[in-house]
Amino acid sequence: MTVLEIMERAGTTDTELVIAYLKDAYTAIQSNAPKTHRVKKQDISKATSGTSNQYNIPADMVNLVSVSVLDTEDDNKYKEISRLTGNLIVSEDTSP
Amino acid sequence: MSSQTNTQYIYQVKNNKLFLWKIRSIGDSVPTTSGEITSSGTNRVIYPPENITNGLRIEYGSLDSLFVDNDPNALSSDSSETSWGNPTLTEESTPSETSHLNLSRTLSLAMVDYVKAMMSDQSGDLERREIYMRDFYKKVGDDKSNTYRVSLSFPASPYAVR
Repeated sequence: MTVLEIMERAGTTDTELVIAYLKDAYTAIQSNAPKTHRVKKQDISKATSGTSNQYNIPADMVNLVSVSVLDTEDDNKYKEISRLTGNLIVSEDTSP
Repeated sequence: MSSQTNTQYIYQVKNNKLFLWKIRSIGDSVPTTSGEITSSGTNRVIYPPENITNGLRIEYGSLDSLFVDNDPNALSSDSSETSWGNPTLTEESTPSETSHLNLSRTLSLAMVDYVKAMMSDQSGDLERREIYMRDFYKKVGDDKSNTYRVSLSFPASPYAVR
């Protein structure tokens, strides 16, 4: 269905406003069940400072499906790792 | 060089950051800077001690492109039962009246209800707004239940005749 068909059914001629409403509605729909499945990879670096075990999460993420780490000893397979529940006692290590 | 990563690494998510740790088990205790070998009886976590190129893989769900150049609900070619093609959809960064919504037919109709609800809201007719919003969520629910339809079957009891 095109934007024009939506406008005709809703009885309005304000294109920009309708497009803005459509974006809002789409966000409401997709926030419950994201449509696109994506994968991002980044280098793991040997920790040298108190924040070097922190990695950026993709900004377009709605929900996290899994996190994996490359196993170079097993034919370069990515293996899912577990999520830590609870908090660690040490919040930052200044000399890792 | 990394091995058995599924048992040796753990992560935690805090806001927009992912914290990665490696588990150091009791068996691979190493001396501390003071020469003390620790063996507390529990596993410890340490910061990643190695470089792994493209080592961290994050799998996630994200929003899809809403406005596209072709109708997503029509096949691009359909010559026979075994020869057909899905449409190639290109995102339109500056949508116009001719842009297609990258949604199913049901969700497109839900969008009409949403626009009507917002138009009613703008004119101050809150009662009508609620009616259209209810229709919007009903259609979204119908679409989801059609997509993820689950059928349940139960075995018949051997003593079914009662």
